Amino acid sequence: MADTRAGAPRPVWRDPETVLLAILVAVTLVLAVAPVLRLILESAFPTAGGGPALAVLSQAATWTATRRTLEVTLGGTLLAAVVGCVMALLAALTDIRARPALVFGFVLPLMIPPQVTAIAWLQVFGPASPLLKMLDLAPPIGTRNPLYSRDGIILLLGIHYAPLVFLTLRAGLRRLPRDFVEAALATGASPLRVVATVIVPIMIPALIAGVMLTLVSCVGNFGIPALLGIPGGYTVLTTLIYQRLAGLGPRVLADVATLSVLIGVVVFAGIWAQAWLLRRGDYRISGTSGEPPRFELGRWRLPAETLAWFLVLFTFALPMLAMVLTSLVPAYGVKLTAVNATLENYRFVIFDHGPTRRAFVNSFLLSAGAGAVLIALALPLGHFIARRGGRLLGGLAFAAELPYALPGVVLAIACILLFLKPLPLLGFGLYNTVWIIFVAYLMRFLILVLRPVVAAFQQLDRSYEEAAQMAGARFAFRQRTVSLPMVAPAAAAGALIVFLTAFNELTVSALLWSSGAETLGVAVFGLEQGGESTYAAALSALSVAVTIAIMALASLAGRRMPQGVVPWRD
Amino acid sequence: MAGLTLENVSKDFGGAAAVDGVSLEMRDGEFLAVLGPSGCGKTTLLRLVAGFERVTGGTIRIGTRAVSMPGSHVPPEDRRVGVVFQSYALWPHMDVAGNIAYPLRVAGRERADIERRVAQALDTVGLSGLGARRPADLSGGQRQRVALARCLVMEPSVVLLDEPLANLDTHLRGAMQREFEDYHRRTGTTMVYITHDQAEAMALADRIAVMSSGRLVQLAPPASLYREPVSRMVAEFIGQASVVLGDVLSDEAAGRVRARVFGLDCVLRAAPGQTARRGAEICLRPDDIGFSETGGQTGHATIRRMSYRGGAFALEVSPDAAPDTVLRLGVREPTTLATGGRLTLAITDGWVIPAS
Ligand SMILES: Nc1ncnc2c1ncn2[C@@H]1O[C@H](COP(=O)(O)OP(=O)(O)OP(=O)(O)O)[C@@H](O)[C@H]1O
Ligand SMILES: [Mg+2]
Repeated sequence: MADTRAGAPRPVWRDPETVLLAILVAVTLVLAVAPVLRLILESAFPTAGGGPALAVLSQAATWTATRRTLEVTLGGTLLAAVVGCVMALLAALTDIRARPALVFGFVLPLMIPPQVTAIAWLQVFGPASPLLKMLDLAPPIGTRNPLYSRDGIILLLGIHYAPLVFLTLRAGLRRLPRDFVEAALATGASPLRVVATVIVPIMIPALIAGVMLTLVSCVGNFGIPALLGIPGGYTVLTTLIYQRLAGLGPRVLADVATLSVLIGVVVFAGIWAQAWLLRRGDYRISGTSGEPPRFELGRWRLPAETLAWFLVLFTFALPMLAMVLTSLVPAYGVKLTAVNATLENYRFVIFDHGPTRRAFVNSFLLSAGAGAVLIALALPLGHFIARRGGRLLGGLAFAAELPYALPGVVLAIACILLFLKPLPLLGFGLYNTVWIIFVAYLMRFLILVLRPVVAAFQQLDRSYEEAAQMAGARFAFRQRTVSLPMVAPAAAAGALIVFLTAFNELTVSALLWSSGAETLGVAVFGLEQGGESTYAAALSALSVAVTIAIMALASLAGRRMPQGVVPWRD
Repeated sequence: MAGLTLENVSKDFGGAAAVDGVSLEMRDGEFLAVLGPSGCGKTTLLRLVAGFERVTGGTIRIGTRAVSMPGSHVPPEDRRVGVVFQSYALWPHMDVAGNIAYPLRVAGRERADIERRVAQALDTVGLSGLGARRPADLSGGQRQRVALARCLVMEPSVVLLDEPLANLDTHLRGAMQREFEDYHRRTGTTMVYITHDQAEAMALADRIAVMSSGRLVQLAPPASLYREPVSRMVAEFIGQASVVLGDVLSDEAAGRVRARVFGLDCVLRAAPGQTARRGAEICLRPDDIGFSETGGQTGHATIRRMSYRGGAFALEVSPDAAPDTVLRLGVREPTTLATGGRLTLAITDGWVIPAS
């Protein structure tokens, strides 16, 4: 038999496919697994300075912050679930008009960074509110803004994350086959009864998923409690970490690492509970899919539309209006009139103020760079995950979810731990440079590109690639000429979301920035904390404008992409 | 061009054998059809030959070159095996000419040479002038032709086709069948053609391989497959055979035996070495049974069902000697036969299925 062998097999290390795979696995391990491992390691065997790691757990401040985190999380999630449910039912199951505009308007708050949401809402209430002042309803100067409180944080968390519940629920409702509902209606049941007996039970898994996602997001949220809670002295876990680290520096790294693990545990308990709840019941839906059912509202349509638009106005338009008005006043607290409105604040943040100008450039380069690098990484990696599968690659795909599921503050702590010392062998460090933020973005947002790419590869019939293979095309050529053109739209959509998210990001960079390496989020946060609300409002308005412009562009491009790639499209 | 040899080829998917010890030898230029019920392993066999799957046992040779063995696997891109996919697998982001030119681009041919060959290939499959179209703007039959042309330009040593006509309507199927025949005659390429349409297989192939549950059950030219099935499964799968039980009364001599079926004496065909045996399986085709109408309750059998087939009726008949057996017969119109009517039968021919 030996003489009939089809040539000696090539050594593994000379097969370009295997080499590429090995490199990808190594890079992904560094990006996805290293931060989590490092954190766990730190809380088990503290290496950074500071007292014994567990001492922090016996401090009263820790437990107060934990209790408050739970309070705002539960309150915010409840509010988000109620608002999100109502909107999802209206948008997915009724014959309400102007649906795409409604969906776009309702999802917008999610795309607006939390710190901007907070700044905008702060302008709605409080003694300096341009809206209240115009109506002569403003409370006297010196009155505390009512949002600087627990309930303020709950309100904003609820409004900010309602779209999250809305999106997951709507996605679930869309898969609801029309014949389920028609079968129930055919038995003579009233529409309300059908909703109660057929639709609600079927949408429970999506609701659970949305609620868990919101819970986890609330626990990790930084922008809202930072802007509302720090002035009000209401400290939650994320802001506690921030304050400790910002105040005392890397000395307290062991303490904050322990706190981070605490948050991480809470978050993963939530994720695990979701998986467990979903596994318990058999929620698989079979049936001919297609058009989801649409109930005719009849004379209830106008009231329903009014409610829906009211929610959109209240959650998005009102705060945005207040923010824009604030950005136009000549000085904070002055009543805005047609005469004294000015663009001076915009001029200042764009041209005069060095840190904000730098922040714009930094954030643009960081987010565009992260998008580009992640496309380059996710395309081949997605190919291997979708085509080869196997335990290693499946585990890698799961691991890539971790840095995104972790709260940003926790990931930032992990990055500091990883990069505080100079890199082994290379001799230079990333800490205190812009690169640590860049690496953190790569870690955090990898999954946002990887997920759509893997899905695109899975939907792509493998015979397309096999046809190229039979034609003699080798791996690299095949990928370049056949696979990549076909999954490129999904990758582009993912990168776009990375750009949007990273451009406005605060949580990670709040702990990682250094002088000269400010991000837009840090700049906005700094201005507002420094009492420069008018500048903060102007900068926020600019970043919202950029966000909306990019979303609109993506919506246009999204017409040519598979459904679901651009989340806010109907 | 080259022959194709499979020696004891097996493929397990996590313990379940999709292909189980298949051996066959195709000479250079042969047209082989692979036939079998859904899930019997046809596609897996083809993917093994193309190199998309690795064998778990056995050897595959193209010409004299061993391309698949456990532990040694020539990747598909080095096999020069052409595949026409059931889904066509035409790349939507390239136009028709781009699809056909792809293998030539891979081979690093000159621009002018590529253009000439693509034009030639388009001409061969009757699609001249459609080179600039997108695959999405073609009909099913046209897409199939493009897939064939793409395969053709790479001058493959073996061409594999996986149910290439399954997505086409009946009329188009006939036309495309003729095209495959022409192509085969012109190029003399070794072809493996997978189908579960037995008429298609009979019409096209030099030999037919019948598969069942991953195993190769019979490999024979169409006529002998039809006339001399080796098992009940093959007999029932090919043509409208009825498999009934009967007694073989004599040993085989000159390919014949005497037998008694439903109490009727007859002479049947049998494999060499067939010995007298009770309860043998007999394959009866509609033409093997003569019948005439009888009145009242005389005769051997009752008509259970009649269905009109355009110009003729298909009959399902139960003999009194074996009331649970269904014989399929045909009768041209007009006829006086009716459901419930009585028939006398005469068995004029038939095949004794060898005991396994
Ligand atoms: N990648 C795979 N993993 C696991 N099992 C597989 C895989 N591919 C095929 N099988 C199994 O192998 C068996 C044979 O499948 P195959 O596709 O070869 O059948 P087929 O004869 O082509 O059927 P059809 O006529 O329906 O196309 C089936 O039981 C199938 O479920
Ligand atoms: Mg098949």
